[in-house]
Amino acid sequence: MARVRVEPAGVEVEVPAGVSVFAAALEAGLSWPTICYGQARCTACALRIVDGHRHAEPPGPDEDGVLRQLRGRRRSSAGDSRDTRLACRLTVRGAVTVEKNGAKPIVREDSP
Amino acid sequence: MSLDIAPTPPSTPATAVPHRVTDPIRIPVERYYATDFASLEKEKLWKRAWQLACRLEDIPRPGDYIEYEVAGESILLIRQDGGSVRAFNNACRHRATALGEGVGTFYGGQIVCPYHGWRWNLDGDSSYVYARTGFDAACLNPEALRLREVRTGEALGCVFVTLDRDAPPLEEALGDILSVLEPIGFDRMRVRWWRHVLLDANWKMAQEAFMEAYHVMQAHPSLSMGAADEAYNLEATLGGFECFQNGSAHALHPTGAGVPVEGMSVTDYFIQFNNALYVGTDAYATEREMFVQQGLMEADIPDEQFPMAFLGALAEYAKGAGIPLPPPTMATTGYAHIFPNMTVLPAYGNSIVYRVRPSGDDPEKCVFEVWALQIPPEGEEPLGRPELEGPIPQDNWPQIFKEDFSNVTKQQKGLHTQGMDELVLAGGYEAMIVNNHRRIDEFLAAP
Repeated sequence: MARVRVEPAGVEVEVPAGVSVFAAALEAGLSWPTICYGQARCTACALRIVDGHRHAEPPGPDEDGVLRQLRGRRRSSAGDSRDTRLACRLTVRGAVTVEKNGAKPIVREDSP
Repeated sequence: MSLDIAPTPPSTPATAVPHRVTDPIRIPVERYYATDFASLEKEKLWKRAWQLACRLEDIPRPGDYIEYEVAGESILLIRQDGGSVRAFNNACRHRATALGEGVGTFYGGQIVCPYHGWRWNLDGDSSYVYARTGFDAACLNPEALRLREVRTGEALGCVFVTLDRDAPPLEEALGDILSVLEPIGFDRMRVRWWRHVLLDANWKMAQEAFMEAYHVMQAHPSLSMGAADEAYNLEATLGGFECFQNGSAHALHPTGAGVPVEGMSVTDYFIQFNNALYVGTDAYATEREMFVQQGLMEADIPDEQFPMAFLGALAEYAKGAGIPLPPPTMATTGYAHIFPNMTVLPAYGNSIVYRVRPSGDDPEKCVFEVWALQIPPEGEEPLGRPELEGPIPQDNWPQIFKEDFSNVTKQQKGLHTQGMDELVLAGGYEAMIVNNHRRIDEFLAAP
Protein backbone atom coordinates (compact mmCIF):
# COMPACT_ATOMS: atom_id res chain seq x y z
CA MET A 1 0.00 0.00 0.00
CA ALA A 2 1.40 3.39 -0.98
CA ARG A 3 0.07 6.93 -0.66
CA VAL A 4 -0.46 8.93 -3.82
CA ARG A 5 -1.15 12.64 -3.49
CA VAL A 6 -3.26 14.12 -6.27
CA GLU A 7 -2.83 17.82 -7.08
CA PRO A 8 -4.34 20.34 -7.54
CA ALA A 9 -7.29 18.77 -5.67
CA GLY A 10 -4.92 18.03 -2.81
CA VAL A 11 -6.42 14.62 -1.99
CA GLU A 12 -4.52 11.49 -1.00
CA VAL A 13 -5.33 8.00 -2.23
CA GLU A 14 -4.13 4.67 -0.81
CA VAL A 15 -2.91 2.57 -3.73
CA PRO A 16 -2.42 -1.17 -3.09
CA ALA A 17 0.50 -2.94 -4.77
CA GLY A 18 -0.36 -3.99 -8.31
CA VAL A 19 -3.43 -1.75 -8.50
CA SER A 20 -3.37 1.25 -10.82
CA VAL A 21 -3.65 4.81 -9.53
CA PHE A 22 -6.82 5.16 -11.63
CA ALA A 23 -8.50 2.06 -10.17
CA ALA A 24 -7.50 3.04 -6.63
CA ALA A 25 -8.79 6.58 -7.14
CA LEU A 26 -12.19 5.33 -8.35
CA GLU A 27 -12.26 2.91 -5.43
CA ALA A 28 -11.60 5.88 -3.09
CA GLY A 29 -14.57 7.74 -4.53
CA LEU A 30 -12.73 10.17 -6.78
CA SER A 31 -13.89 11.13 -10.20
CA TRP A 32 -11.05 10.89 -12.73
CA PRO A 33 -11.21 11.90 -16.39
CA THR A 34 -11.62 8.89 -18.67
CA ILE A 35 -13.40 7.77 -21.77
CA CYS A 36 -12.25 4.18 -22.04
CA TYR A 37 -12.47 3.31 -18.33
CA GLY A 38 -9.07 1.81 -17.81
CA GLN A 39 -8.36 0.13 -21.15
CA ALA A 40 -5.15 2.10 -21.90
CA ARG A 41 -6.78 3.55 -25.00
CA CYS A 42 -8.20 7.04 -24.57
CA THR A 43 -5.31 8.84 -22.75
CA ALA A 44 -7.86 11.04 -20.93
CA CYS A 45 -6.58 9.73 -17.60
CA ALA A 46 -2.95 10.77 -18.25
CA LEU A 47 -1.25 12.42 -15.26
CA ARG A 48 2.10 14.07 -14.57
CA ILE A 49 4.38 12.79 -11.84
CA VAL A 50 5.72 15.75 -9.88
CA ASP A 51 7.39 14.00 -6.95
CA GLY A 52 8.42 10.50 -5.84
CA HIS A 53 9.47 9.49 -9.38
CA ARG A 54 11.57 6.61 -8.12
CA HIS A 55 8.48 4.94 -6.62
CA ALA A 56 6.71 4.70 -9.97
CA GLU A 57 6.88 1.28 -11.67
CA PRO A 58 8.03 1.58 -15.29
CA PRO A 59 5.39 1.46 -18.05
CA GLY A 60 4.55 -1.88 -19.66
CA PRO A 61 4.27 -2.41 -23.42
CA ASP A 62 0.61 -1.35 -23.80
CA GLU A 63 1.12 1.89 -21.84
CA ASP A 64 4.37 2.57 -23.66
CA GLY A 65 2.68 2.39 -27.05
CA VAL A 66 -0.07 4.79 -26.03
CA LEU A 67 2.39 7.21 -24.39
CA ARG A 68 4.43 7.33 -27.59
CA GLN A 69 1.35 8.40 -29.55
CA LEU A 70 0.56 10.95 -26.89
CA ARG A 71 4.03 12.52 -27.13
CA GLY A 72 3.79 12.52 -30.91
CA ARG A 73 0.73 14.72 -30.96
CA ARG A 74 1.95 17.19 -28.31
CA ARG A 75 4.14 19.78 -29.93
CA SER A 76 5.82 20.72 -26.72
CA SER A 77 5.42 19.48 -23.20
CA ALA A 78 6.20 21.15 -19.96
CA GLY A 79 9.04 19.28 -18.29
CA ASP A 80 10.27 15.76 -18.92
CA SER A 81 7.92 13.80 -21.19
CA ARG A 82 8.77 10.66 -19.19
CA ASP A 83 6.77 12.13 -16.31
CA THR A 84 3.54 11.76 -18.27
CA ARG A 85 1.90 8.45 -17.44
CA LEU A 86 -1.46 6.76 -17.85
CA ALA A 87 -3.22 6.67 -14.49
CA CYS A 88 -4.96 3.45 -15.56
CA ARG A 89 -1.63 1.67 -15.90
CA LEU A 90 0.58 3.44 -13.35
CA THR A 91 1.40 1.31 -10.31
CA VAL A 92 3.58 2.55 -7.46
CA ARG A 93 5.73 1.05 -4.72
CA GLY A 94 5.96 4.15 -2.50
CA ALA A 95 4.74 7.68 -2.00
CA VAL A 96 4.22 9.64 -5.21
CA THR A 97 2.72 13.04 -5.94
CA VAL A 98 0.91 13.47 -9.24
CA GLU A 99 -0.82 16.32 -11.00
CA LYS A 100 -4.14 15.76 -12.72
CA ASN A 101 -6.65 18.42 -13.56
CA GLY A 102 -10.20 17.17 -13.18
CA ALA A 103 -9.36 14.47 -10.64
CA LYS A 104 -11.42 15.29 -7.57
CA PRO A 105 -13.74 13.86 -4.97
CA ILE A 106 -17.22 13.19 -6.32
CA VAL A 107 -19.63 15.78 -4.92
CA ARG A 108 -22.85 13.94 -4.19
CA GLU A 109 -26.07 15.76 -4.93
CA ASP A 110 -27.56 14.70 -1.62
CA SER A 111 -24.65 16.07 0.40
CA PRO A 112 -25.22 19.41 2.13
CA MET B 1 -12.92 -59.98 -15.06
CA SER B 2 -16.26 -58.78 -16.32
CA LEU B 3 -16.80 -55.37 -17.75
CA ASP B 4 -20.13 -53.70 -17.45
CA ILE B 5 -19.73 -51.45 -20.41
CA ALA B 6 -22.37 -52.61 -22.88
CA PRO B 7 -23.07 -49.31 -24.65
CA THR B 8 -26.68 -48.26 -24.97
CA PRO B 9 -28.10 -48.77 -28.46
CA PRO B 10 -28.53 -45.56 -30.43
CA SER B 11 -31.72 -43.74 -29.49
CA THR B 12 -31.62 -41.55 -32.58
CA PRO B 13 -34.14 -41.79 -35.43
CA ALA B 14 -32.65 -43.54 -38.44
CA THR B 15 -32.57 -40.70 -40.92
CA ALA B 16 -32.16 -37.60 -38.80
CA VAL B 17 -28.39 -37.36 -38.57
CA PRO B 18 -25.87 -37.85 -41.37
CA HIS B 19 -23.03 -40.26 -40.56
CA ARG B 20 -24.78 -41.27 -37.38
CA VAL B 21 -23.50 -44.20 -35.31
CA THR B 22 -25.72 -47.21 -35.93
CA ASP B 23 -23.44 -49.89 -34.51
CA PRO B 24 -21.91 -48.51 -31.29
CA ILE B 25 -18.50 -50.07 -31.93
CA ARG B 26 -18.18 -48.65 -35.44
CA ILE B 27 -17.69 -44.91 -35.88
CA PRO B 28 -18.14 -43.57 -39.45
CA VAL B 29 -15.01 -41.64 -40.45
CA GLU B 30 -17.03 -38.74 -41.86
CA ARG B 31 -17.83 -37.69 -38.32
CA TYR B 32 -14.24 -36.50 -38.11
CA TYR B 33 -14.02 -34.48 -41.33
CA ALA B 34 -17.34 -34.02 -43.15
CA THR B 35 -18.41 -30.38 -43.29
CA ASP B 36 -22.13 -31.25 -43.11
CA PHE B 37 -21.49 -33.09 -39.85
CA ALA B 38 -19.37 -30.25 -38.47
CA SER B 39 -22.03 -27.64 -39.32
CA LEU B 40 -24.63 -29.74 -37.56
CA GLU B 41 -22.36 -29.96 -34.52
CA LYS B 42 -21.87 -26.22 -34.64
CA GLU B 43 -25.59 -25.46 -34.55
CA LYS B 44 -26.96 -28.27 -32.44
CA LEU B 45 -24.10 -29.27 -30.16
CA TRP B 46 -21.90 -26.24 -29.54
CA LYS B 47 -24.76 -23.76 -29.42
CA ARG B 48 -26.77 -25.94 -27.04
CA ALA B 49 -24.60 -28.00 -24.71
CA TRP B 50 -23.38 -26.74 -21.35
CA GLN B 51 -19.62 -26.40 -21.61
CA LEU B 52 -16.61 -25.28 -19.62
CA ALA B 53 -16.08 -21.53 -20.21
CA CYS B 54 -13.39 -20.66 -17.65
CA ARG B 55 -11.94 -21.33 -14.22
CA LEU B 56 -13.37 -19.12 -11.47
CA GLU B 57 -9.85 -17.88 -10.69
CA ASP B 58 -9.57 -16.52 -14.24
CA ILE B 59 -11.76 -13.62 -13.11
CA PRO B 60 -10.98 -13.13 -9.40
CA ARG B 61 -12.02 -9.48 -8.91
CA PRO B 62 -15.12 -7.46 -9.80
CA GLY B 63 -14.73 -6.13 -13.34
CA ASP B 64 -12.37 -8.94 -14.41
CA TYR B 65 -13.46 -10.53 -17.66
CA ILE B 66 -12.46 -13.39 -19.92
CA GLU B 67 -13.66 -14.17 -23.42
CA TYR B 68 -14.83 -17.65 -24.40
CA GLU B 69 -15.19 -18.39 -28.10
CA VAL B 70 -17.02 -21.33 -29.62
CA ALA B 71 -19.03 -22.00 -32.79
CA GLY B 72 -18.31 -18.52 -34.16
CA GLU B 73 -19.77 -16.99 -30.99
CA SER B 74 -17.93 -14.81 -28.50
CA ILE B 75 -19.03 -14.72 -24.88
CA LEU B 76 -17.73 -12.38 -22.17
CA LEU B 77 -17.69 -13.74 -18.63
CA ILE B 78 -17.57 -10.95 -16.07
CA ARG B 79 -17.08 -11.03 -12.28
CA GLN B 80 -19.80 -8.94 -10.64
CA ASP B 81 -19.51 -6.65 -7.64
CA GLY B 82 -21.21 -9.17 -5.37
CA GLY B 83 -18.85 -11.96 -6.43
CA SER B 84 -21.15 -13.78 -8.83
CA VAL B 85 -20.34 -14.30 -12.51
CA ARG B 86 -22.49 -13.20 -15.43
CA ALA B 87 -21.94 -13.77 -19.12
CA PHE B 88 -22.98 -11.74 -22.15
CA ASN B 89 -22.90 -12.07 -25.90
CA ASN B 90 -19.85 -10.00 -26.73
CA ALA B 91 -21.36 -7.25 -28.86
CA CYS B 92 -22.29 -3.59 -28.57
CA ARG B 93 -26.04 -3.15 -29.03
CA HIS B 94 -25.32 -0.29 -31.46
CA ARG B 95 -23.20 -1.72 -34.29
CA ALA B 96 -21.94 -5.02 -32.88
CA THR B 97 -18.42 -4.07 -31.77
CA ALA B 98 -16.91 -6.73 -29.50
CA LEU B 99 -16.58 -5.14 -26.08
CA GLY B 100 -13.70 -7.16 -24.69
CA GLU B 101 -11.09 -9.52 -26.10
CA GLY B 102 -9.01 -12.23 -24.43
CA VAL B 103 -8.68 -11.36 -20.78
CA GLY B 104 -8.84 -8.00 -19.04
CA THR B 105 -10.60 -5.84 -16.49
CA PHE B 106 -13.45 -3.39 -16.86
CA TYR B 107 -12.53 -0.59 -14.43
CA GLY B 108 -14.87 1.77 -12.70
CA GLY B 109 -17.67 -0.78 -13.10
CA GLN B 110 -18.05 0.20 -16.77
CA ILE B 111 -17.99 -1.84 -19.93
CA VAL B 112 -17.17 0.68 -22.66
CA CYS B 113 -17.57 0.31 -26.39
CA PRO B 114 -14.34 1.54 -28.00
CA TYR B 115 -16.21 2.70 -31.11
CA HIS B 116 -18.84 5.27 -30.05
CA GLY B 117 -18.49 5.19 -26.30
CA TRP B 118 -21.68 3.42 -25.25
CA ARG B 119 -21.38 2.06 -21.73
CA TRP B 120 -22.88 -0.64 -19.53
CA ASN B 121 -22.68 -1.57 -15.86
CA LEU B 122 -21.08 -4.93 -15.11
CA ASP B 123 -24.56 -6.48 -14.88
CA GLY B 124 -25.29 -5.59 -18.51
CA ASP B 125 -27.59 -2.61 -17.91
CA SER B 126 -26.95 0.38 -20.14
CA SER B 127 -25.34 3.27 -18.24
CA TYR B 128 -24.59 5.74 -21.03
CA VAL B 129 -25.37 6.44 -24.66
CA TYR B 130 -23.38 9.27 -26.18
CA ALA B 131 -25.48 11.96 -27.89
CA ARG B 132 -28.80 10.17 -27.48
CA THR B 133 -30.87 12.73 -29.39
CA GLY B 134 -29.94 11.35 -32.81
CA PHE B 135 -31.49 7.95 -32.10
CA ASP B 136 -35.07 6.84 -32.50
CA ALA B 137 -36.50 6.64 -28.98
CA ALA B 138 -37.48 3.00 -29.42
CA CYS B 139 -33.81 2.08 -29.86
CA LEU B 140 -32.99 3.57 -26.49
CA ASN B 141 -35.35 1.75 -24.16
CA PRO B 142 -33.39 0.01 -21.40
CA GLU B 143 -34.28 -3.51 -22.56
CA ALA B 144 -33.07 -2.80 -26.09
CA LEU B 145 -29.83 -1.36 -24.79
CA ARG B 146 -29.17 -4.10 -22.25
CA LEU B 147 -26.43 -6.57 -23.19
CA ARG B 148 -27.79 -9.96 -24.22
CA GLU B 149 -27.13 -12.40 -21.41
CA VAL B 150 -25.77 -15.93 -21.68
CA ARG B 151 -26.71 -18.58 -19.11
CA THR B 152 -23.99 -19.57 -16.65
CA GLY B 153 -23.56 -22.13 -13.89
CA GLU B 154 -20.71 -22.92 -11.51
CA ALA B 155 -19.30 -26.34 -10.67
CA LEU B 156 -15.91 -27.88 -9.89
CA GLY B 157 -14.23 -24.49 -9.56
CA CYS B 158 -15.32 -23.59 -13.10
CA VAL B 159 -17.91 -21.52 -14.88
CA PHE B 160 -19.99 -23.34 -17.49
CA VAL B 161 -22.11 -21.65 -20.15
CA THR B 162 -24.81 -22.63 -22.60
CA LEU B 163 -26.08 -20.62 -25.55
CA ASP B 164 -29.39 -22.48 -25.32
CA ARG B 165 -32.08 -20.59 -23.43
CA ASP B 166 -34.12 -23.79 -23.14
CA ALA B 167 -31.34 -26.04 -21.83
CA PRO B 168 -31.93 -27.66 -18.43
CA PRO B 169 -30.06 -26.11 -15.47
CA LEU B 170 -26.34 -26.96 -15.24
CA GLU B 171 -26.72 -29.31 -12.24
CA GLU B 172 -29.30 -31.31 -14.14
CA ALA B 173 -27.20 -31.40 -17.30
CA LEU B 174 -24.07 -32.52 -15.44
CA GLY B 175 -26.04 -35.06 -13.46
CA ASP B 176 -24.20 -37.95 -11.80
CA ILE B 177 -20.71 -37.04 -13.00
CA LEU B 178 -20.84 -34.08 -10.63
CA SER B 179 -21.22 -36.23 -7.51
CA VAL B 180 -18.55 -38.59 -8.84
CA LEU B 181 -16.03 -35.75 -9.24
CA GLU B 182 -16.92 -33.54 -6.28
CA PRO B 183 -14.90 -35.58 -3.69
CA ILE B 184 -11.76 -34.89 -5.74
CA GLY B 185 -11.74 -31.23 -4.70
CA PHE B 186 -11.60 -29.41 -8.04
CA ASP B 187 -12.94 -26.29 -6.35
CA ARG B 188 -9.89 -26.22 -4.04
CA MET B 189 -7.46 -26.55 -6.93
CA ARG B 190 -5.61 -23.69 -8.58
CA VAL B 191 -3.91 -23.46 -11.95
CA ARG B 192 -0.21 -24.41 -11.99
CA TRP B 193 -0.10 -23.89 -15.74
CA TRP B 194 -2.49 -23.56 -18.68
CA ARG B 195 -1.22 -24.27 -22.18
CA HIS B 196 -2.65 -24.91 -25.60
CA VAL B 197 -1.76 -26.44 -28.92
CA LEU B 198 -3.43 -26.14 -32.33
CA LEU B 199 -3.85 -29.63 -33.75
CA ASP B 200 -4.57 -30.68 -37.31
CA ALA B 201 -7.31 -33.02 -36.22
CA ASN B 202 -11.02 -33.08 -35.49
CA TRP B 203 -11.81 -32.05 -31.92
CA LYS B 204 -13.27 -35.48 -31.13
CA MET B 205 -10.25 -37.30 -32.49
CA ALA B 206 -8.03 -35.21 -30.24
CA GLN B 207 -9.99 -35.72 -27.05
CA GLU B 208 -10.48 -39.43 -27.65
CA ALA B 209 -6.74 -39.95 -27.10
CA PHE B 210 -7.45 -39.09 -23.46
CA MET B 211 -10.60 -41.16 -23.02
CA GLU B 212 -9.04 -44.61 -23.04
CA ALA B 213 -5.90 -46.24 -21.61
CA TYR B 214 -5.70 -49.07 -24.13
CA HIS B 215 -3.00 -47.12 -25.99
CA VAL B 216 -0.58 -46.98 -23.06
CA MET B 217 1.34 -50.18 -23.90
CA GLN B 218 2.31 -49.02 -27.40
CA ALA B 219 2.09 -45.23 -27.34
CA HIS B 220 3.79 -44.51 -24.02
CA PRO B 221 6.95 -46.63 -23.57
CA SER B 222 7.82 -44.73 -20.41
CA LEU B 223 4.56 -45.91 -18.81
CA SER B 224 4.62 -49.50 -20.10
CA MET B 225 8.25 -49.68 -18.94
CA GLY B 226 9.50 -52.00 -21.62
CA ALA B 227 6.72 -54.56 -21.25
CA ALA B 228 5.85 -55.58 -24.80
CA ASP B 229 2.53 -56.90 -26.06
CA GLU B 230 0.76 -59.19 -23.57
CA ALA B 231 3.59 -58.73 -21.06
CA TYR B 232 1.84 -55.44 -20.36
CA ASN B 233 -1.31 -56.76 -18.74
CA LEU B 234 -4.03 -54.29 -19.62
CA GLU B 235 -6.52 -56.07 -17.37
CA ALA B 236 -4.56 -54.95 -14.31
CA THR B 237 -5.35 -51.33 -15.18
CA LEU B 238 -9.05 -51.88 -15.87
CA GLY B 239 -12.02 -51.63 -13.56
CA GLY B 240 -14.71 -50.99 -16.13
CA PHE B 241 -16.51 -47.77 -16.85
CA GLU B 242 -19.58 -45.99 -15.68
CA CYS B 243 -21.19 -44.38 -18.71
CA PHE B 244 -24.02 -41.95 -18.11
CA GLN B 245 -26.95 -41.22 -20.43
CA ASN B 246 -25.89 -37.56 -20.63
CA GLY B 247 -22.64 -38.50 -22.39
CA SER B 248 -20.37 -38.13 -19.37
CA ALA B 249 -18.47 -41.15 -18.06
CA HIS B 250 -15.62 -42.23 -15.85
CA ALA B 251 -13.24 -45.13 -15.34
CA LEU B 252 -13.67 -47.19 -12.18
CA HIS B 253 -10.97 -48.49 -9.83
CA PRO B 254 -9.10 -51.50 -11.23
CA THR B 255 -10.63 -54.69 -9.94
CA GLY B 256 -7.69 -56.97 -10.60
CA ALA B 257 -4.70 -57.29 -8.31
CA GLY B 258 -1.09 -56.69 -9.28
CA VAL B 259 0.60 -54.35 -11.69
CA PRO B 260 0.38 -54.38 -15.47
CA VAL B 261 4.09 -54.90 -16.06
CA GLU B 262 4.97 -58.58 -15.89
CA GLY B 263 7.52 -59.45 -13.21
CA MET B 264 7.62 -55.98 -11.66
CA SER B 265 7.01 -55.36 -7.96
CA VAL B 266 4.17 -53.07 -6.89
CA THR B 267 6.66 -50.68 -5.34
CA ASP B 268 8.90 -50.45 -8.38
CA TYR B 269 5.95 -50.02 -10.72
CA PHE B 270 4.37 -47.30 -8.58
CA ILE B 271 7.61 -45.35 -8.28
CA GLN B 272 8.54 -45.63 -11.94
CA PHE B 273 5.03 -44.70 -12.99
CA ASN B 274 5.17 -41.50 -10.93
CA ASN B 275 8.68 -40.74 -12.20
CA ALA B 276 7.60 -41.19 -15.82
CA LEU B 277 4.59 -38.92 -15.37
CA TYR B 278 6.67 -36.31 -13.53
CA VAL B 279 9.09 -36.05 -16.42
CA GLY B 280 6.61 -36.85 -19.18
CA THR B 281 3.77 -34.46 -18.38
CA ASP B 282 5.10 -31.68 -16.12
CA ALA B 283 1.55 -31.86 -14.69
CA TYR B 284 1.34 -34.89 -12.40
CA ALA B 285 3.37 -35.94 -10.47
CA THR B 286 4.68 -32.63 -9.13
CA GLU B 287 7.58 -31.75 -6.84
CA ARG B 288 5.23 -32.33 -3.91
CA GLU B 289 4.48 -35.99 -4.66
CA MET B 290 8.06 -36.68 -5.74
CA PHE B 291 9.28 -35.32 -2.38
CA VAL B 292 6.86 -37.53 -0.47
CA GLN B 293 7.83 -40.54 -2.55
CA GLN B 294 11.54 -39.86 -2.01
CA GLY B 295 10.92 -39.91 1.74
CA LEU B 296 9.64 -43.50 1.50
CA MET B 297 12.58 -44.88 -0.47
CA GLU B 298 14.52 -46.07 2.59
CA ALA B 299 11.44 -47.14 4.57
CA ASP B 300 10.74 -50.83 5.13
CA ILE B 301 7.32 -51.19 3.51
CA PRO B 302 5.83 -54.53 2.42
CA ASP B 303 5.61 -54.47 -1.37
CA GLU B 304 1.83 -54.67 -1.76
CA GLN B 305 1.35 -51.84 0.73
CA PHE B 306 3.52 -49.24 -0.95
CA PRO B 307 0.71 -47.32 -2.70
CA MET B 308 -1.23 -47.03 0.57
CA ALA B 309 1.93 -46.00 2.42
CA PHE B 310 2.44 -43.29 -0.20
CA LEU B 311 -1.14 -42.05 0.24
CA GLY B 312 -0.64 -42.01 4.02
CA ALA B 313 2.62 -40.09 3.75
CA LEU B 314 1.08 -37.62 1.31
CA ALA B 315 -1.87 -37.03 3.66
CA GLU B 316 0.57 -36.50 6.55
CA TYR B 317 2.64 -34.07 4.47
CA ALA B 318 -0.49 -32.19 3.39
CA LYS B 319 -1.65 -31.87 6.99
CA GLY B 320 1.69 -30.37 8.02
CA ALA B 321 1.80 -28.02 5.04
CA GLY B 322 -1.81 -26.83 5.44
CA ILE B 323 -2.92 -28.37 2.15
CA PRO B 324 -6.67 -29.13 2.33
CA LEU B 325 -6.36 -32.48 0.59
CA PRO B 326 -9.72 -34.27 0.48
CA PRO B 327 -9.83 -37.83 1.86
CA PRO B 328 -8.96 -40.44 -0.80
CA THR B 329 -12.03 -41.59 -2.72
CA MET B 330 -12.69 -45.05 -4.14
CA ALA B 331 -15.64 -43.72 -6.15
CA THR B 332 -13.58 -42.93 -9.20
CA THR B 333 -10.08 -43.12 -10.52
CA GLY B 334 -7.97 -42.50 -13.52
CA TYR B 335 -9.98 -40.37 -15.84
CA ALA B 336 -13.43 -38.94 -16.43
CA HIS B 337 -15.23 -37.17 -19.22
CA ILE B 338 -17.74 -34.37 -18.93
CA PHE B 339 -19.81 -34.17 -22.09
CA PRO B 340 -19.10 -32.86 -24.64
CA ASN B 341 -15.47 -31.74 -24.49
CA MET B 342 -13.93 -31.73 -21.02
CA THR B 343 -11.77 -34.62 -19.83
CA VAL B 344 -10.06 -34.84 -16.45
CA LEU B 345 -7.23 -36.99 -15.13
CA PRO B 346 -7.19 -36.50 -11.35
CA ALA B 347 -4.56 -37.75 -8.90
CA TYR B 348 -4.18 -37.04 -5.18
CA GLY B 349 -4.97 -33.34 -4.99
CA ASN B 350 -3.94 -32.71 -8.57
CA SER B 351 -5.68 -32.95 -11.88
CA ILE B 352 -4.92 -32.56 -15.52
CA VAL B 353 -7.90 -31.04 -17.36
CA TYR B 354 -8.39 -31.07 -21.12
CA ARG B 355 -10.75 -28.94 -23.16
CA VAL B 356 -11.03 -29.37 -26.91
CA ARG B 357 -12.94 -27.19 -29.38
CA PRO B 358 -13.12 -26.91 -33.15
CA SER B 359 -10.89 -24.17 -34.51
CA GLY B 360 -13.08 -22.04 -36.75
CA ASP B 361 -15.21 -23.97 -39.23
CA ASP B 362 -12.50 -26.39 -40.34
CA PRO B 363 -13.55 -29.84 -39.05
CA GLU B 364 -9.93 -30.95 -39.23
CA LYS B 365 -8.48 -28.35 -36.89
CA CYS B 366 -8.94 -27.96 -33.18
CA VAL B 367 -7.80 -25.96 -30.18
CA PHE B 368 -6.54 -28.29 -27.47
CA GLU B 369 -6.03 -26.85 -23.99
CA VAL B 370 -4.39 -28.45 -20.98
CA TRP B 371 -4.60 -27.25 -17.38
CA ALA B 372 -2.33 -28.57 -14.64
CA LEU B 373 -4.27 -28.05 -11.41
CA GLN B 374 -3.20 -28.59 -7.82
CA ILE B 375 -4.61 -27.90 -4.38
CA PRO B 376 -2.29 -25.27 -2.87
CA PRO B 377 -1.62 -24.82 0.87
CA GLU B 378 -4.33 -22.71 2.48
CA GLY B 379 -3.47 -19.02 2.26
CA GLU B 380 -0.87 -19.67 -0.45
CA GLU B 381 -3.18 -19.56 -3.46
CA PRO B 382 -1.44 -17.86 -6.39
CA LEU B 383 -2.25 -14.14 -6.53
CA GLY B 384 -2.28 -13.41 -10.24
CA ARG B 385 -4.68 -14.63 -12.90
CA PRO B 386 -3.69 -17.77 -14.81
CA GLU B 387 -2.17 -16.98 -18.20
CA LEU B 388 -2.86 -19.11 -21.25
CA GLU B 389 0.49 -20.12 -22.79
CA GLY B 390 0.91 -20.92 -26.46
CA PRO B 391 -0.02 -22.06 -28.96
CA ILE B 392 2.90 -24.34 -28.12
CA PRO B 393 4.14 -26.36 -31.13
CA GLN B 394 3.45 -30.09 -30.79
CA ASP B 395 7.15 -30.93 -30.57
CA ASN B 396 7.75 -28.63 -27.61
CA TRP B 397 5.35 -30.46 -25.27
CA PRO B 398 6.51 -32.90 -22.59
CA GLN B 399 7.09 -36.42 -23.94
CA ILE B 400 3.78 -38.07 -23.04
CA PHE B 401 1.65 -35.28 -24.53
CA LYS B 402 3.85 -35.29 -27.61
CA GLU B 403 3.20 -39.01 -28.07
CA ASP B 404 -0.56 -38.49 -27.82
CA PHE B 405 -0.70 -35.46 -30.14
CA SER B 406 1.43 -37.30 -32.68
CA ASN B 407 -1.00 -40.24 -32.84
CA VAL B 408 -3.98 -37.93 -33.12
CA THR B 409 -2.67 -36.19 -36.23
CA LYS B 410 -1.67 -39.55 -37.75
CA GLN B 411 -5.24 -40.77 -37.22
CA GLN B 412 -6.65 -37.72 -38.94
CA LYS B 413 -4.41 -38.49 -41.93
CA GLY B 414 -5.43 -42.15 -42.04
CA LEU B 415 -9.13 -41.28 -41.98
CA HIS B 416 -8.98 -40.15 -45.59
CA THR B 417 -7.43 -43.30 -47.01
CA GLN B 418 -9.17 -45.76 -49.32
CA GLY B 419 -11.19 -48.42 -47.58
CA MET B 420 -11.24 -46.64 -44.27
CA ASP B 421 -14.97 -46.33 -43.69
CA GLU B 422 -15.23 -46.61 -39.96
CA LEU B 423 -13.17 -46.73 -36.80
CA VAL B 424 -13.54 -49.96 -34.86
CA LEU B 425 -13.75 -49.56 -31.11
CA ALA B 426 -13.24 -51.99 -28.26
CA GLY B 427 -16.33 -51.91 -26.08
CA GLY B 428 -14.23 -53.21 -23.23
CA TYR B 429 -11.65 -50.44 -23.39
CA GLU B 430 -13.11 -47.54 -25.33
CA ALA B 431 -16.62 -47.35 -23.89
CA MET B 432 -16.30 -43.68 -22.93
CA ILE B 433 -15.68 -42.75 -26.57
CA VAL B 434 -18.66 -44.79 -27.72
CA ASN B 435 -20.84 -43.13 -25.10
CA ASN B 436 -19.78 -39.63 -26.17
CA HIS B 437 -20.67 -40.32 -29.82
CA ARG B 438 -24.06 -41.71 -28.81
CA ARG B 439 -24.84 -38.53 -26.89
CA ILE B 440 -23.60 -36.29 -29.72
CA ASP B 441 -26.08 -37.99 -32.06
CA GLU B 442 -28.88 -37.28 -29.60
CA PHE B 443 -28.00 -33.59 -29.68
CA LEU B 444 -27.77 -33.58 -33.47
CA ALA B 445 -31.12 -35.35 -33.83
CA ALA B 446 -32.96 -32.87 -31.63
CA PRO B 447 -35.32 -30.51 -33.48
